[in-house]
Amino acid sequence: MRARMRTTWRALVRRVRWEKDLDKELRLHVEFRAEDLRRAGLEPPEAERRARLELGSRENYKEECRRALGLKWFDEAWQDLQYAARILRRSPLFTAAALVSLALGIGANTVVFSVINALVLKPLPVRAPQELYFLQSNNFPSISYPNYRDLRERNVTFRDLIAYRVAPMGLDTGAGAERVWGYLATGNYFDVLGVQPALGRLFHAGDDLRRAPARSQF
Amino acid sequence: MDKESRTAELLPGTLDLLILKAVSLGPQHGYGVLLRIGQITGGALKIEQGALYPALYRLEHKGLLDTEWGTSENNRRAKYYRLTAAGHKRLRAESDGWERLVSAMSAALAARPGEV
Repeated sequence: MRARMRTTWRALVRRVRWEKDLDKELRLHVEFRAEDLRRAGLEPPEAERRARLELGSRENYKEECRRALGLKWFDEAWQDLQYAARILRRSPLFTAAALVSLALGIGANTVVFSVINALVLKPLPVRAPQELYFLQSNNFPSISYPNYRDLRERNVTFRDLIAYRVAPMGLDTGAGAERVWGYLATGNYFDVLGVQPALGRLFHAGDDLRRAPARSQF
Repeated sequence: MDKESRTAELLPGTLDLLILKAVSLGPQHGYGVLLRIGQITGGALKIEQGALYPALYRLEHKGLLDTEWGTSENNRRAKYYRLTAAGHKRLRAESDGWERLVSAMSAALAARPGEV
């Protein structure tokens, strides 16, 4: 199996060289044969003619050598591709229509898959992803914390409201301080999402109040 | 008796076996393989010279032969064929099969009316 792949691969990647070698091999055969015929007493031109005749149809045998390595399949596939490219170039309108319908088809498929992937195949890793909504004001990119508190107090529609914002933070690494982006989140954040840590403890509702202990007991 | 009747046509499949045998006696280029087959068969078999090459390429493709460019006895760059380990194994197996076939055929053709 390895030998098969090696011989075919070598012929494909260095095809020009492979063809040259094959031609050289057959030519050499004729030369060797002609030399022997000359030594047997034939005139040089006659020896050459006879040697060529004895080998037979060189192109035929070359084709059989190509077939022995399965090169015919690749050659024909390549010819088909070239033919297809020529035809497509000759009718640009048809090509454009085909490309557009392909693009639309693939695009629509991608959209449908993205939706199904998010909803069915890979939902958010929280307790009830289908009950989770993202609230946003049309007028402002974000909601202030006091506004959030007001919304939460008067909320009758949702079970609870959580808020978060991105915040620049400093991270002390061994090599010095590094600027990283973190998130500030309300104390009920993990409770509402229903996320449990594998180890240790997350913060809970009430941890964001003024009298909350700085560290909780395990 | 003309020349034709003294040479036999090659049975299908025997060319590969003859090539393996010829190459097993020492690395050869294509023309050398042809000469050696002529030598070891006493020139009794008719071989199309060009048909040798597709057979050589097929055997290399199967991993039974290995090739290498070398210098010929008259100082020319030529492609040399050498038997691989798999080629040796195949040659042994095919030789055994051939001998079984020949002895069966000989026995069959030697049978007389009284013996059956």
